[in-house]
Amino acid sequence: MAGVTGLRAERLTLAVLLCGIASLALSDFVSPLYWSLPVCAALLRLWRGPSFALSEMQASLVGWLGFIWVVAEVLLGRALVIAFTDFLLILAFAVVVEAATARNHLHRMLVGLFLLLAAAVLTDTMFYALPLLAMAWFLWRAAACLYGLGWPGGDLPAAEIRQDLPAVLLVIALAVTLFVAMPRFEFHTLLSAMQPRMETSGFSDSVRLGDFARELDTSVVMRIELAGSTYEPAQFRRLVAGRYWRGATLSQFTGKGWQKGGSGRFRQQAGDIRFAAGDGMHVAVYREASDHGYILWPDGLLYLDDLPQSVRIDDTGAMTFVRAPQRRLRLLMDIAPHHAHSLPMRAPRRLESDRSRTPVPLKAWVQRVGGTGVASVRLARIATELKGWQYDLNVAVDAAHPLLSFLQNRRGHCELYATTLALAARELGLPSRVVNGYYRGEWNQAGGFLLLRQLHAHSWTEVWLEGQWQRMDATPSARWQLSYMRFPTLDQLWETAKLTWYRYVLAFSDVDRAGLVDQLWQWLKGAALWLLGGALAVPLIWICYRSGLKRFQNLLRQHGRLWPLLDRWLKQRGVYRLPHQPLRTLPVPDGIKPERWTQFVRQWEMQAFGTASPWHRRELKRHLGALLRRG
Amino acid sequence: MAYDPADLKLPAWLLSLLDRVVRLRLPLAPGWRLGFTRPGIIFVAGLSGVWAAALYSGNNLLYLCGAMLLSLMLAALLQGSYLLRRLPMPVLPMLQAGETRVLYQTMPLPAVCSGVVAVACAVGDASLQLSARCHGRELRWDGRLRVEQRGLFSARELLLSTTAPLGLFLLCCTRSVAMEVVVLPVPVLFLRMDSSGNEAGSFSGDEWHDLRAYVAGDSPSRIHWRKAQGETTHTWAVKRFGAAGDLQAKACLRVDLRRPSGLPYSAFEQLIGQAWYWVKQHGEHEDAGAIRQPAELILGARHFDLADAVEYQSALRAIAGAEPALQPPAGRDGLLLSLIGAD
Repeated sequence: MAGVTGLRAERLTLAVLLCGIASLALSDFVSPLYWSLPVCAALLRLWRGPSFALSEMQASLVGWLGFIWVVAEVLLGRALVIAFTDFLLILAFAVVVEAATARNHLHRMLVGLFLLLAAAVLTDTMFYALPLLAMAWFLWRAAACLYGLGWPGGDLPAAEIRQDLPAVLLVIALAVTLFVAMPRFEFHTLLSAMQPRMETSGFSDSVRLGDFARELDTSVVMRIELAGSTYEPAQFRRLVAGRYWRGATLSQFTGKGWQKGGSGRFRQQAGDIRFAAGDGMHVAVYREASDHGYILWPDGLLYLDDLPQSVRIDDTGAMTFVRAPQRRLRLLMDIAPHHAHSLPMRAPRRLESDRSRTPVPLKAWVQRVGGTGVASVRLARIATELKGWQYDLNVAVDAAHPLLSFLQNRRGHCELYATTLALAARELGLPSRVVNGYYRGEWNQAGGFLLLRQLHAHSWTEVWLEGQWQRMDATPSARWQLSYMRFPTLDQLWETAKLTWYRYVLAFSDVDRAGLVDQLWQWLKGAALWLLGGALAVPLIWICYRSGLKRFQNLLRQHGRLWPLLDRWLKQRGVYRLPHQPLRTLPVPDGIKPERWTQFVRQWEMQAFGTASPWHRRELKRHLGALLRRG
Repeated sequence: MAYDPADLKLPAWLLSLLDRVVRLRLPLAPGWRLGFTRPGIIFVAGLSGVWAAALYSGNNLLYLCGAMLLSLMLAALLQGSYLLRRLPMPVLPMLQAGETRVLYQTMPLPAVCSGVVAVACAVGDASLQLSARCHGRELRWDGRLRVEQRGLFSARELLLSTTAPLGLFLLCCTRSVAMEVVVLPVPVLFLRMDSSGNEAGSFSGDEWHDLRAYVAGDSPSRIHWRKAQGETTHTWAVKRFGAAGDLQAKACLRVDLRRPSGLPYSAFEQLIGQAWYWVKQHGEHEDAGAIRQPAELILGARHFDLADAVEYQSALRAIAGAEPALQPPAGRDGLLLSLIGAD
């Protein structure tokens, strides 16, 4: 095997391995230190050639040392999945630096493929398509070179790119067809694509008022698109854009923050859940993996379709996955056009009227601002006062007395506004609580969907009025005018591409296939006449083109500009040619050797009537000049 | 193979199991069969695992990987079949019984493709094995051709097989052809001796008029050693001597194809070998500038003017396919080769 160093597939198999490394490097679980190790070694190898190598035994030793190192990592507390990726990359490093035997080429291709497969589980980014495509390309070319190694003549040289291109395009077309055609069985196992859970604040059962994000975080939390065809996109936008998306319900005020407070009744369920009767918009919600298990649901939720995991629904309107999922999920919902509450919620309990932790200055402020009258009117007066204050994320908040500093500064973030209003309601004898969720979102014009980012996180108040929980939002509207995007158009296109990836690749299902087939059928029915016409016209045009081209070429050849030039040259050498008289019937011109003349006539006929490419004036002159040349 | 699983140091029992599967040939279509190579089996097994994981988990990225790998296999199958269908047939040289002929022939390919194709065809009791190595627009035939039996054979079927382009399958197809394989007899030295022991009518001092290929039995003194010194084809040239008058006289050989009942068939083969030897001496020369002596061969009832290229080729076919006849040879003049009276 040592005799096959310097195979022609050296770079190709290295490229296969690099594709595998690149795909795994896309995973957020992978440490850059580990993936840069084999990449640097591969670049060195490309630079220095096969001489930069360890023997098989030494490379094997590197692999074993890597294994021991990874076991030590696990013992020291590194997560198993991360240690696994570390080991794969150390293995890739050992393969890169191994001597380029035939076995090494096999190792490279196998390890490259294995890394690609591992990456399919450890990442779900759109960029995964790039190493996948590159792998198809290089794997094809490398295998096509290497397989001939056992035959006389050894491995085949790499084919020209234009030769392999049709084959690889065929591979891609077949892969897309197979991807669409194969059946799906959703078992929700560990082999589903994972991503690290995004860290979010404010979505836990305990929130501190001084602990909030100081900057607008543009990380995407959810993408919501219309899944049915009953509503027009513009109508969908109007109906969905201004909704509150409910998350955690916090009932107990601790003095410095909020807690969920007491466990209400809940039910646990998976599959389909109907909350209210009626027809609504069918929407698909693409939820990013987050560190909380809350399902954010909008006002007017009617139906949750085919929930992939068990959820827990409590009587305050909070819905959580039993276990926070570690991957993106597509949730299908039916939403009523109107903004009515859909989940049944219990009447207030005592802790929602608890005033024991309300700061004394706040009580005084409520009495002063609320004035006199009915409690609901006084509360509305307080809400109006709060809305006139200033929204500010960067205001200094005293962690020990957050509400006092808020009342002094008259500026702050939404949690402070919601808390102040909720405590004010309690002071006025109205049960209240704070709800954390998302509001408004950002409409993506390019893709026609709603986008909820982390910066759309919001807090509002719910007050028990007239026998039901009613939402009151005291946050100034200036909150929603804050600018956060540098390149909005580019960002919209980028988010559209991502949603397309999630929609048509990650979340592609049997239902989508049926929809696709139906769409195709409808399109075919609509375009049947055009297709029929095209099927007739294309061959007709092709035939006309070919015959026209042939005639044109004949015209160029027979009556082209070469004959006058040739006739003039012949005349100068005493030969007169009649129109349409072939050259072979002419006598040999003066001063020309007969053999040369015979050869010239043969070449002339080959270009005029045979398979040789036609001459131009310059080429004819060159040939005539060669006839006159001495020697 | 480049990626033979044996390289992975698999246990012997697994390799022998793989070999059993490798021997299987699955019918695809009439004339087409599919087998797997060792890496192909490993690849299919791995691919099955990928698909099982994809179907079980519903992970669409695993679906994509599985679809890509399966497409590679299918595209390889299509390209392999394309290669087998488009492969031009070799032009087989004339063979000589019992002699190994190395074929090394290049020809243009009608379509751009890469791969190695093994070609086998049955010629009499023997089987000719060739390999075609295609790259770009060039095709190179390699083979060591050896047939033990003289004859004019017609190969009606070629078995083409290839593992191109990825080395995962062995795709076999049978192609109907009408390919003639001419196997000439072993030449038997045939000298018409004069009283001095020289080739009759040929020796005239040191003057020789042309060269012919060496055959076993030629005198070493007649080999053109100086020419042989720079020769790369490993064939010796033998000087032919003759008077100028002799060159103009038309040589004629009549071969009597009758075989007396008592004589063994080998005697007939000997006779045909002598006729072939004579034709080699008088037949078409590779060197177009050489002086050629007019010659005529009468083989049984058929006449051949060896100066004519077409008739020369026909003569070779007739010699290759000669069978004992009942009729005496045609004509009256010329040298007669006959088994009648030899017993």
